[in-house]
Amino acid sequence: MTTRFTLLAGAQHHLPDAVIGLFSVGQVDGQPWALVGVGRPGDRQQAKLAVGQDLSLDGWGRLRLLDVHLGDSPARRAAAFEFEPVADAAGVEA
Amino acid sequence: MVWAGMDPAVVQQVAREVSVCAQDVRASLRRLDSLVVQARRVWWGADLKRFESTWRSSARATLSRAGSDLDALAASLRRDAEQQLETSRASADGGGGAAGADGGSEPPTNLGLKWPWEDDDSPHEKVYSGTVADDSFDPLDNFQGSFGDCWMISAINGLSLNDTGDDILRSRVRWDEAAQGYWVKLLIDGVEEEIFVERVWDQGGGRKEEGWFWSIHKKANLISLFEAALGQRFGADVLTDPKTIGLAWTDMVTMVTGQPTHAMSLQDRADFAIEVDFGLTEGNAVVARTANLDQSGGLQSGWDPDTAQTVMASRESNGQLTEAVQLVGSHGYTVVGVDAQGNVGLMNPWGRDNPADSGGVFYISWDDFQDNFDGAVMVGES
Repeated sequence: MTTRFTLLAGAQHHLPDAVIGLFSVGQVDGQPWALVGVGRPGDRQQAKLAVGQDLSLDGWGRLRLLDVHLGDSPARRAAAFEFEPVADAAGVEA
Repeated sequence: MVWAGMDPAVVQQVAREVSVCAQDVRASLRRLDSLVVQARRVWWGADLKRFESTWRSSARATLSRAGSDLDALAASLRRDAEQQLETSRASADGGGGAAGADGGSEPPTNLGLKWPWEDDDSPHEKVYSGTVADDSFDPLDNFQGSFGDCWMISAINGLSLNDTGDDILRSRVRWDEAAQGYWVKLLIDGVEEEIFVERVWDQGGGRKEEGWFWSIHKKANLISLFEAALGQRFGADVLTDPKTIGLAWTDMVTMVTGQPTHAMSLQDRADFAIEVDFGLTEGNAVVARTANLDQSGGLQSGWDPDTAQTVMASRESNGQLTEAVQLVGSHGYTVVGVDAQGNVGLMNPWGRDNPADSGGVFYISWDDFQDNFDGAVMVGES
């Protein structure tokens, strides 16, 4: 099942078998980005995503950056994500 | 549902109203503070001193205590109501049910998904007696959350480097077993005020816990308590921008640590080294602040790995500067010393494994320090 959530910069969100960390958000030439970390048992990935971009990890799923909020204060910097888990061969989600 | 002994909904409402009363008391306190400041502009001499002294020691102290006592009372009411709810759920054969759906299934932002602060801006992670344990004071483990309070964490980290500073910090918080919360001291306008803290922000600063997610899992600690106390007293925005209450970040450092701050000159390497050495020996902390280093035209204090300022560093004092690290703009760092080569030792409040400099202490050349940092303060009596 697809999950959508928002995350403050500096905070974490727990998904099945993974923790999503949002390190930082910013923008270059008006294009917002988010620096995201995904930690799974024995595996760490880090990616700078633009809005609409995905981070796909084998056997786990796809994390898409939906939106970035660039507030004046760091307490108002956040990103919105969509996570789609991989479905296994039997059609049961991982 | 029939309740035995208490209707928790009503008690929760009472708790909310008691909290509102606590806020009202604090609002009155702030208004009275500003009236005292007004009086100070047109009144000099011994009578003014007597008036201010009486205000601080009696009425102000009483009001401040009343606000904190009301917070503790509200916390106690909430706890009682929660216990009643748990008991009733257990005896009603699963009556309450789970909260159910993950908030994540809401439509997203441009499709209506709410940002975290739109629902609840208040702290909600409960503290417990172990929140301030010995390892809460390890500066290498502390890290900044989503608030812009690098100044506070850098000062706390600096003081934690030695026993004197460590003792100062420990003396500013105390666990209240009966109330199940902490009393946190803030030095406000020269007067120590105790704020009762029962919950902290889970997106705030804390301690990095060793874990499988590159040590990023956060555990509430001393930093979380100070953030909550400041947030309760002045509102969360003060953590990012102290100017919202008309103060500088150095004033906030004094408020949290109870220690004065003194601006330091970055003009001369030898003078700075002597001052740092002397201050740290005396148990003080030194916090240095970078200029706005953002070359991307983006956020002033934002950090972009593609455009951040990179300097060469060493992990040891008097070492070769062979490791590239990135500096964060408009950011406070703890100064841990100046080595014999004149390299300046720094520690980023982003903590261990951070994406800019990987955490821990790193030394950069004096030239890079002077080029990228635009100020430094000594925190402490010396």
